[in-house]
Amino acid sequence: MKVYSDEKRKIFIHVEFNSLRAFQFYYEINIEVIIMNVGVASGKGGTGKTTVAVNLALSLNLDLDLGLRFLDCDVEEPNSNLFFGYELDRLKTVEKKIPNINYDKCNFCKKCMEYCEFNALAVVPDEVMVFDDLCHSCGLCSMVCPEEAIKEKGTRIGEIKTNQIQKKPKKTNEIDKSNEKTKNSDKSIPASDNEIEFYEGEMDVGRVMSSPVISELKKQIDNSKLNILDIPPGSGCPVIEAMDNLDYLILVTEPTKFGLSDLKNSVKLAEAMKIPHGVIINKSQEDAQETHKYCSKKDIPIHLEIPNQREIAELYSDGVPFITQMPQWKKKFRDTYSEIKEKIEIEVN
Amino acid sequence: MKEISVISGKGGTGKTTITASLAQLMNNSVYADCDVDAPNLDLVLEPKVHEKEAVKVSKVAERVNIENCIECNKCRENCRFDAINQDLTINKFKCEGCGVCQYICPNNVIKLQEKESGDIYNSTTRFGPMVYGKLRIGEEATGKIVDKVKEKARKVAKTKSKDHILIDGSPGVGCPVIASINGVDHVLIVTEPTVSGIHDLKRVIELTNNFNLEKTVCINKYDLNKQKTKEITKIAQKNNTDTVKIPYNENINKTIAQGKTIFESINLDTTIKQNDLFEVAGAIFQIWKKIH
Repeated sequence: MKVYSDEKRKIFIHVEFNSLRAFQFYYEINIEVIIMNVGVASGKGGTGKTTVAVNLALSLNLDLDLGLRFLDCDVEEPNSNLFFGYELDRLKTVEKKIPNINYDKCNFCKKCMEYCEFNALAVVPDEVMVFDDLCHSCGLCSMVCPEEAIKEKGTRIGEIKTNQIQKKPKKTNEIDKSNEKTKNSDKSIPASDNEIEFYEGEMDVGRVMSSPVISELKKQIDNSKLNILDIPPGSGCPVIEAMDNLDYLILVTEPTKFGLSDLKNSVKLAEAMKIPHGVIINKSQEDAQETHKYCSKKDIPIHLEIPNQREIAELYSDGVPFITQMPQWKKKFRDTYSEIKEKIEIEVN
Repeated sequence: MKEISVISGKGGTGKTTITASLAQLMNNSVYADCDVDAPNLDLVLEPKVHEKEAVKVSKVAERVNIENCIECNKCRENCRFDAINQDLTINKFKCEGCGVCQYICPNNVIKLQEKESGDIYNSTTRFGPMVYGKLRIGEEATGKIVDKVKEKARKVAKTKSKDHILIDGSPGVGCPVIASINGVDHVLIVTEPTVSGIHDLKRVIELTNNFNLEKTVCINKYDLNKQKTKEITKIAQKNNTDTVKIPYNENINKTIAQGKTIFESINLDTTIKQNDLFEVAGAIFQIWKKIH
């Protein structure tokens, strides 16, 4: 008899007799350890998404039975590993499909150009120009081509990196790597061999569309573990791609006029996407009342307030997760996680 | 007419705060907020809006003749964005408006419809005209809205014969950023001396090099980490770019909270140590000279 869970909260029980499949059924129950995907997001850039995500992950890493996976979805500017300092290898390159014209068959009928909603094709007398960056890889052009002259080909737009490819013992005195990198990894490696399973996507500079890189990265979500996702800033398409299918969103904000205005946008987005959410206030000082007022009016829990301290800012500037130097914060992050877990459990029930 | 774009790579380094103060120095200019995901310049410049225009730059699939649907599932099978649910309804967040479903549907159930992705505001601030865009929640097409904002700003600049357009850009290196630096004359890159700041600066410089643009690097909060500031200066030198340094100042947020630029706060706000503000103001004045 095999028991396994599907992507969410259903348990499948699969019974076999002498390799003859007898019956399979699933039963929806409350699994004790609720599997979840938690995103750390903010409308405004630079509020401390990465700080919260990294410190949360490092606080939880050792006392979670289920294991933890970290995905840096801010593929335009992936920064989380500056704080983890892991050695990353390329897992795969991310390609997107673009049309490739077979000129032996093409008769320049312009149908592809007329149908393309994104103006990614232009047919001139003896050429079909393809604008990679405008193409959404929908495949319509190859469908409409009466001569079957369009086949799709891949073009590189980024890559997925991870620390999970080879488990080498960590070198502490690496000389051949750049100074910056060595320094970071000296300081920021957590005091355990228990590396977090880390994945990041990186879009190539000059590329326009980051969503395909994010969706490829999200295939690395492991549903038997807690997944923490660092979400890109804003409320546009990459953000929606990254937030899709999450169980909870931590919205990081700062108590400024800008921060509050952008928090409101993030809340609207989370509500529209029906993702339960809570707030962490970073760089908090006396003037956080406005944010408190807004949250209590909207009935959004504030999980944690991280003070506006020069010490934290300086540690950040050197790429050091502050819980490694201020261990009293570990418990606070763990409590935050318990709160979130409870909230999701209530939501599920 | 000269166009200047303020960008940063990493978010939260101080683009908008600096842009607002520059706005006061640059007379006879049009201001444009191209961070359409999270526009904030209006919070400081407090514009009076006299024209709001919805932007229709994208489309979305809609089931218009539901009664004709024979549930052949072709739309769902051919959609590459998982935008068609099991019950054949359309997930508007995921739909990119490509038109594959409309084409493949044998009974013309699905039609692409134009949709409003955002709004463009034409307004006046105490320093001059300002154009800004706001993306509707959950919409895409950020790049196209940025293009529209710039287009509008250019029109305003032309009719009112202004000398400059000052553009507040968005973080990252993706589509809205490329749209906001495309065709401008000078780029001001605001960074901070942190590992993330440097990492993102390198990527954003690489991007601007592709465009072959005149640029200036501004190191905000430079005294937070002097080692990293040195590193940034070196990177800038390698790219033949001047740097300007602004000191770390905890009170800057206060001036923003009051909706004032740094120059306006000097002498007015006695709770803030004036010397500190003078230093910041001086640095911004230097930037102005560089980009002017």
